[in-house]
Amino acid sequence: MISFALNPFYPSFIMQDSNYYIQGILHSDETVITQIYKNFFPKVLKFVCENKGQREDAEDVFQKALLQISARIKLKKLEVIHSTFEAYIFTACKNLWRRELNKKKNRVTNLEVKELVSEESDMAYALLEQERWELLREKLDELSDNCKKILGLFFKKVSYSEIVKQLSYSSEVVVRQRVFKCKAKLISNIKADKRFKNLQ
Amino acid sequence: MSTNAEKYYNQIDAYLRGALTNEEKAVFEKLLQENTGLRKELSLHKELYAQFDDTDWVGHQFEGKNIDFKNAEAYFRSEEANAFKEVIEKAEENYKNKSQTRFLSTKKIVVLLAAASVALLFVFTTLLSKDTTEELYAQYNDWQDLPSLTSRGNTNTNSLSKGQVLFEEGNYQQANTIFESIVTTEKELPINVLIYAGATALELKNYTEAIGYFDKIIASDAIDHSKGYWYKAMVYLKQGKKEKVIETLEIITQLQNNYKYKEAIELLNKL
Repeated sequence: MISFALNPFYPSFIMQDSNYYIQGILHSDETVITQIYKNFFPKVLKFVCENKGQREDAEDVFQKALLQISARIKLKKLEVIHSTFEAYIFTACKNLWRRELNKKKNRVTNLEVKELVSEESDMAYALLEQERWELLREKLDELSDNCKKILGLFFKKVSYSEIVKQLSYSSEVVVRQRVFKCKAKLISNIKADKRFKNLQ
Repeated sequence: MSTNAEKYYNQIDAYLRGALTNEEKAVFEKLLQENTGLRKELSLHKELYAQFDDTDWVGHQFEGKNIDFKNAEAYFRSEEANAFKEVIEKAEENYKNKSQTRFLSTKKIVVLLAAASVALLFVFTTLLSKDTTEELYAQYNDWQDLPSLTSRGNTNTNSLSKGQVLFEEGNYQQANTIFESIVTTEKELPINVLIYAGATALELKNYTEAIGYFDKIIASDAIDHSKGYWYKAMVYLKQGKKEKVIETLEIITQLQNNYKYKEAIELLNKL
């Protein structure tokens, strides 16, 4: 008779803080990984299928995300995840799928002629790109609310005149100055972070 | 931060926001080729823009001397990682088996009914005939049921309806010329136009062309993009490429919402 804690299909509310999953991945624990599939795969499957993908794509992305997380645990001694494990693995999958779609797009339009790399190198690219993505996200989050708002619109390519309207600024000149200052601050924060140096 | 880099920020933004004239753009791109620092700034900016665009992802070229990159590569090549991959695969297998059993127990009746009807159909069809792919194609293509193109608020309404009439009259050659020109000139194409274009090409036995149109449907983000798979299966069916038909139909049968889900199962059983 299997105990509750080991039964992968026992309701998920019992266990499952992120540390539980991290330990499971660290020790290649088949039971825990099966629970990860059961608890988090359906959401990823739905996301991929709603975004031009098939079941196999979702399976592929999920495998890669798990492998990516294992690399981060083992190489970077990742122990604590600041969000829930669900948010963490879902973001990893979402980004891997965006990356995949963009690779396909670039292949079709020939925008970027990148030499073919082995699967392992590609995984390494994906991992470090994900880390850069997280660093940027973190630095964006750390900005003042005012900068966050204005840059949020700016990076969505909203026009200066539209930003004036939406945020009730007095003129475009003021918005341009504000954008410039906020962006300079953001970029200098990114570059000052010691992790950034290793992500070049 | 060096003021040198900041000097470029406005230009980088103008470049990424499409606000440069062609001349300015050419000058900027030349500058990019010569200046590694500028390329890095541009890449970082692109990544910042991508943070706010759910469909975009910016790849990055890491420096050859990047230790973290080398370590990551080495890890993914290691036996440890391969062993972990195997565990992942086993876990995936466990998960699949388990979700199937659960499906059986909760939706037993539905499944049994479905199985029974498929079995019945199978017996029925095998008893009746051994269909060739050509016969199956005749049976399953649904050109007569294609939606009308005239109701769409499209600037091409005239040529669209003309193409439709020609198609319905079986004048595929002329219909094909019309649809081909629409497909090459219009950027935003409704799925239905692509279906007509593909159908005419298929009837003219221009198989590669037909597949091209149907692949466009599959790649689109329209809700009914799964139609592309069905029509692609029709192309292979007409060509007698049985394995390809099966492969394509199997994609359809993965999701119940897919276009012609039931027909796909039915047809798979006949093949």
